[in-house]
Amino acid sequence: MSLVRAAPAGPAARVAKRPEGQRRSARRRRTAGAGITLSLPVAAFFVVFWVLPFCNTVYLSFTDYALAGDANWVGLENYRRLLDDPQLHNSIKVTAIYTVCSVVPTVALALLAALPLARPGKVNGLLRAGLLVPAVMPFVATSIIWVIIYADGGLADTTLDGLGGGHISWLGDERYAMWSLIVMVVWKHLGLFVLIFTAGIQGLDRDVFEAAALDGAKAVRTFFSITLPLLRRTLLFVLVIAVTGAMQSFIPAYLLTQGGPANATEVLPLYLYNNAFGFQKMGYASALAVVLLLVMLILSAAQFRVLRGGEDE
Amino acid sequence: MTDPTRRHLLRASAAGLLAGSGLLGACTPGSSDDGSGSGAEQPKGKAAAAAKPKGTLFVWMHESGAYHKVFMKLREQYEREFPEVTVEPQFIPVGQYDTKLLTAFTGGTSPDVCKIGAWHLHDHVAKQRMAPLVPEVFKASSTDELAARFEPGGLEPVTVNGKIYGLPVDFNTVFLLYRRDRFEDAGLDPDRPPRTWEEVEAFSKRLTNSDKSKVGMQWVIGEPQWSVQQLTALAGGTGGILGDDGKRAVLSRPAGVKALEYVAGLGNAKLRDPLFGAGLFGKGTSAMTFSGYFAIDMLTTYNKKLKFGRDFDVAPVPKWSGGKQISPAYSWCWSVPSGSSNQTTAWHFVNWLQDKERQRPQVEDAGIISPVKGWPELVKGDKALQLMAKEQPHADFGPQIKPWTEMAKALTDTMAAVAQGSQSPKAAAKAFDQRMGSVL
Repeated sequence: MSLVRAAPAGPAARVAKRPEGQRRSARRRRTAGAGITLSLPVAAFFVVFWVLPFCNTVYLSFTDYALAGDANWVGLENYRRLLDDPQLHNSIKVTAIYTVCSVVPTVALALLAALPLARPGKVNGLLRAGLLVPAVMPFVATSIIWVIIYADGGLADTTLDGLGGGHISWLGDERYAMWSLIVMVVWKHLGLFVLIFTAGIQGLDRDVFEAAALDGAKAVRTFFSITLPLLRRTLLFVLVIAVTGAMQSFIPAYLLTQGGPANATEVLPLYLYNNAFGFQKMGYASALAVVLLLVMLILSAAQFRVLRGGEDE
Repeated sequence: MTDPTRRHLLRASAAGLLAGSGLLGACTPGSSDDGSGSGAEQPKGKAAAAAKPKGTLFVWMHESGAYHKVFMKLREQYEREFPEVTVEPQFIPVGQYDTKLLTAFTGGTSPDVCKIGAWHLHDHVAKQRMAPLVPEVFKASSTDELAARFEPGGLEPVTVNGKIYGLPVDFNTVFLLYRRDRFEDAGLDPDRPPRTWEEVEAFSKRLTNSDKSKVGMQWVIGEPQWSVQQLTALAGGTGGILGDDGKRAVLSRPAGVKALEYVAGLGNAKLRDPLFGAGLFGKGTSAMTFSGYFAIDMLTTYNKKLKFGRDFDVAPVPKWSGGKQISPAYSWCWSVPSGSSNQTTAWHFVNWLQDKERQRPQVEDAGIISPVKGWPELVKGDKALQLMAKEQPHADFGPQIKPWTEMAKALTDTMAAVAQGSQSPKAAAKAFDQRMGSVL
């Protein structure tokens, strides 16, 4: 007589009889099915509000759609016109200056500030929170605050005058308007990047730093040889969001200068907006949007390549 | 809960995509009421005249404190006289107004009546967003008969390709605003404002200090509407910007270059003014500027100590010595979008607003002019409006073209470039002509 009890009859018995591999596969299918079901609303949202509008934008970029009537197919005409448009060339130049001059100081300052602020302590916590305040404030509200700061007789004007620098029309003079915008966006984004770098630094293995200290490495050497290479992924993340954010920046120029004076601050998104909703050239604006997207993709890919180079080897 | 099968998932995805496509389709050209005359069938001719006004009218206009009150009273009166009509007004901040209207036109949700800048009318008409006026509703047998009820040229800003698309309201000829107190301080006679551009230049020299922190004439820089007004006056009228046929930009001709040289030589473009020139003028930083009737109210609100007639005054826009008088002008208009399903009642309401009896409160309490025949009689007690009436025969609305917005932006850039000194007048004028070449 066998000591093994006879297996009970019914579904449980059938499951028990299945080989282990089949059971695992069925469980995986069920898990995958639930995962797909749960992500479906988000996927649908993504398709409706991102994929389809994107496809529509690409389609419109080959038409003469003017926010009324039919969209007539014009082939590559809008793209050809991009090459001959002096206003666009000015906007590209302005956007390049704005991107480089706002991203480089923001990222550099944030990294430098994060080094001491990453250390534990109540004061550091307070400072980190304080730096984050501009980042969590709505951009429109901060822009209006800076309009007041830059106004004649405003904080910037009176401070400079008090220091003997005389009066400057911060937003009205084409020599200073762009720099005024850049100062504002550096102030606005600094706190967020400090927070990201702080989290990155706090996640680094302390043993490496202790070993370096035992070997007599100085602070500067430690920073360039250990901290920076280990922070590469964080730096990549910050750079990608900083560059794409700067290239898409619309609110500061729209609210502070409207692209002026004399187009000195007409960044690409503002030029795109003017074409779409000012001149109602939706087809041309769509072509601009497609090119802007491609440029951002290329820049992001280049950043990935440079900063992740060597990681895979 | 049963596990979703692949078929279920595919079906749900397909449904989601279809719903999404439908939603997007609503935003896609050609798939919706794009305002191309697709409103409900409207009665015409005698039927329109006989149609009884009824239904709800959605009326949009830009916010304006004084006119808001006047309009609400008129609305009550209209609803009392025509109890089958409900008027639903919406007052929108002027800075957001054009965008809001454009969104409504594109989305097929335009109001029944809207106040729009007549300078945008050509573009809206070309895009079939506006309904032509129905003379019968105005108890006129033809548009000519209707036009005869207005001052000569009164309907010019609302006429596109020979058809009338609205009735002018908030009609303005522009003034030279000047500070009497600054004139006195500089030893100039405040009762003798400059009459020519040459005099403006001479006066400006006396009113400008060495570091240009106080100036005489200050241009309104960076504002498209005002760039058109100022250059229309300086370049010898509409023909000085786009030529007499309006099909070719001619700013690089001597008159245009002279105008830009003049702009570069006066004022201080580095002084920023967020209030269309009125901010610096209100503070006394500038002693002269260009503006319209609205500025008088704005200035006294902005600086409570300022009093019109005592501290500042208005004068006709100067002319070049030996040249013709040009009074840059602009007008808003009451229009009926083609997407309105109640066009007859909408025109009825517009007609009712134009009646002389209803004109009086609009003029007296809000300074809103409609150039109907005899309107100057309504403004006997108002010096600025009297001046406007006197200048009306010289009104020049500037180039009225479909790509007005692009032209105005190009003029703004041109003016700013020469005023900031980043381009020579000759180069800026040439760049403007080239830029307009691809637009016209």
